[in-house]
Amino acid sequence: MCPLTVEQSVSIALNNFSVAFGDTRALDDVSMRIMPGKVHGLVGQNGSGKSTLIKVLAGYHVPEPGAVIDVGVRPVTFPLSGSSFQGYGMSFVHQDLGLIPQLSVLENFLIRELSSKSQRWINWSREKERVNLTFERFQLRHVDLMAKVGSLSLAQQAMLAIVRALEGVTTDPGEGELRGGLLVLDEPTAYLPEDDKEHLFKLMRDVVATGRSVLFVSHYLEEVLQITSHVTVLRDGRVVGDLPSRDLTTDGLVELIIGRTLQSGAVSTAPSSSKKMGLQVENLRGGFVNGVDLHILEGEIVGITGLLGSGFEDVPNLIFGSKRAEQGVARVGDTEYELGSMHPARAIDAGIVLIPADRQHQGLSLSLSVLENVTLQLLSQHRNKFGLSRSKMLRTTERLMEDFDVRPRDPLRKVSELSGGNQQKVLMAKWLASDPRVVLLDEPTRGVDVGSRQDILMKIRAAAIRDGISVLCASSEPDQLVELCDRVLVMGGGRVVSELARSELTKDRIVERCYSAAASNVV
Amino acid sequence: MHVNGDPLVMDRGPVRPKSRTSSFVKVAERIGVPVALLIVIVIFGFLEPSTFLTTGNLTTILASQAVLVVLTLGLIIPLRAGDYDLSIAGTLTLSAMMIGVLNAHLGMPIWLAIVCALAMGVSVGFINGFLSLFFRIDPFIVTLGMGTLLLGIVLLISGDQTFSGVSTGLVNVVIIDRFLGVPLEFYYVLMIAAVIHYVFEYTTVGKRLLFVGTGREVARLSGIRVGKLRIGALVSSGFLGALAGIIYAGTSGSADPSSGASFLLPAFAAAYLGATTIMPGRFNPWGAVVAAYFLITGVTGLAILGINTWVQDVFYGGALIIAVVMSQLVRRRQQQDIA
Repeated sequence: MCPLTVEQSVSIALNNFSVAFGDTRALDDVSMRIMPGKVHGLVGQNGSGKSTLIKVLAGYHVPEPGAVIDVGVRPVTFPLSGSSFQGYGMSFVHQDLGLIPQLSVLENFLIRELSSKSQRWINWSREKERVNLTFERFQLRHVDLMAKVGSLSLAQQAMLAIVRALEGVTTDPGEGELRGGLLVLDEPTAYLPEDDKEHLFKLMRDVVATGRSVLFVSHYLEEVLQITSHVTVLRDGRVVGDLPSRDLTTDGLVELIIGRTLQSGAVSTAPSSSKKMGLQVENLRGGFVNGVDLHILEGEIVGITGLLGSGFEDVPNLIFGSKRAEQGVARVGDTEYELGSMHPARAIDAGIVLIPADRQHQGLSLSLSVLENVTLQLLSQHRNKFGLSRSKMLRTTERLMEDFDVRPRDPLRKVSELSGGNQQKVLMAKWLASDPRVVLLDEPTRGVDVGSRQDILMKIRAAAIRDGISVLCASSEPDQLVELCDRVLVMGGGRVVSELARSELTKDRIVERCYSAAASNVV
Repeated sequence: MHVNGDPLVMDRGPVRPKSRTSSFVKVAERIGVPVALLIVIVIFGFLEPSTFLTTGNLTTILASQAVLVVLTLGLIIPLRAGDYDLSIAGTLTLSAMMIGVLNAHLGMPIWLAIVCALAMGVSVGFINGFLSLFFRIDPFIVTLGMGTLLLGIVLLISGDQTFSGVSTGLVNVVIIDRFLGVPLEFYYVLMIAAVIHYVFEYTTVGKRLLFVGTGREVARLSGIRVGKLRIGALVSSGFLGALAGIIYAGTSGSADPSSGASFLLPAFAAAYLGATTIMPGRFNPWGAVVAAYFLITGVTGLAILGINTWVQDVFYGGALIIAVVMSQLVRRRQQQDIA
């Protein structure tokens, strides 16, 4: 477990990585070299191939023949098996950290051993001592080994996951022959407050000081330039830039990421005053949202976006009351609602509906029929003098299935028996048929095939134009925002940082604003 | 909009419904348990025509076992909302004992004793619901504790004695008075099942309850007051548990402190078996009624054949396991339809 010296270490080379999913090439002949004792940055838009690359290293995807990983010690052959990356000195901290919140710090630390070694007894006091030593070595203080991980702050959890990954590398069975070692950090800072980022960076510097390398994946370009010595930029599955960090600026990096020159000047148009206000939200706070004001006219579709951790994904849930806001006021028509005490039933009464991203757990009850799901919000319209009228509900369902082109047209079919796109149409039908005044969309086309995606976006537009519904669409897909929205709000650090009007909406501009919004919040 | 050969069109599926499972299988699923009930009756009728096929025996099956059917009907309401009520047999026993103690022992008018027993059932349901929701404890655990607690109270108020001499007024309307040769309690069962069927299928509350049971988060985000409905379901099962206890006291004319607890497992077996039939895949009242009578008929028939009493436990326990296995098979079959 002695510290490795830089002289012993070797660089890690990845050569000719190609991965295709159907017709799309997620990775196209990607090669990069990570120097020992350095932090190497990996940046690119969503869908540029970053996560595919990491998944190849972790053995999740198998690259096309010809791919080579050279860790300098032993030849690596594909396909990599589930946990073989450990044997090559690689360790990973994925975005979700991979911790189990209900278990203690100590138990989380030992998970890997509990699952891999055929060890029959656990000497808890010895393990405790060992983990304590590790914590000391990485200067992770004030963490109670017996505390439940769920009770720790996000920052502490991130640190814990990173230290666990580091320990995995250093104590691996093949330690004797192992000299380098690569720690892959996938967006570790998205949810970290400023102070803890410093601690994380210190930790990363300590790691590279022992001769290991760190592959640092992040959207936060300021941070990337601050901590890395070299950056690889991916676009559409190809390497488009591979430069020393000191030669780069954030603007230059954004240009590489989106592939064209930046246009300067933040232009924002005033809302046209001819239309009536549909939804007005003031001083919304809660979750990652830290003081958001927004307004949507009747018939207007406003997008809201940002990088991971910017808070945009919380906005619909906070307005709808499915996530409790700390503070804020919403105005629909002439009525004012305190968002601190909002809940879904009240929001629906106010004419606000939320179409959630997680269709399978939040949107539809899969084991029930299309008819039952689609009529849930319309039950009161389907009464006769004996109670609910099945024939009326059947007629409504048939009409809605026709309207939204749900296939097959079988009202009694269980929703679980439909394809993802058709499920999403059922979800749209359920809520748009309930005659809302405000529709909050959370990633409206996630996991939906391209054809259904078009239908869904068209339906939303039609509903806005025809019925004057105000739509707020939270999305991380710039393409979708361009297609759908009249206006896009870009968030960074929990606030709306900039706004793009219809005339200036392009995919590249949205991406660029997302990065600059994030940068403007890095102190 | 799409030209021929566009790969997207293929993704969208046929407009015409296409089911891979033949309608025969689906129908067989629906009527499986009713058919099994008929088969069981025919077999026992063939083996023991002189005892099994008598009006006396058939009346016993239909009427005297009505207690189990009412209990099953009580159970399916929280099950429909996705919750267990393990205290329902305790409620039954306490309710019967309250009739015994208050009416037979202390001489309270029977109507007042009935009101007290029903009030007890409703209160127990409310306490179950309140503890589960307010402290966010699984009702499974809360009602498990509550069931044993209630049986303890039964022993306390009865002094571990059986009380006979329950008012003939109650006994008459439960088992003595007949319509078409069958005691009235059988018709009570049908009435309760009809009411539950109406609530489940023809009211907004029933539809919402279904969503609470099948997708709690979906229900919450659809503006359904999930907590209120869950408490309501547990109050209903408490009420029906108490009603089953009153019918139990009326059927036997007495109240004993221990036999009520033995109803819990058969009631669960009937509820789960009932969920595989009539409307497969969900807890439904008519399925529960048919399944309960199927189990009762089986046990009664085996007893007439002279098979020992142990067979009852084997039969009920086995039926619960088979019922659960069957409902899993139904689900897997439905999932294969998609794939």
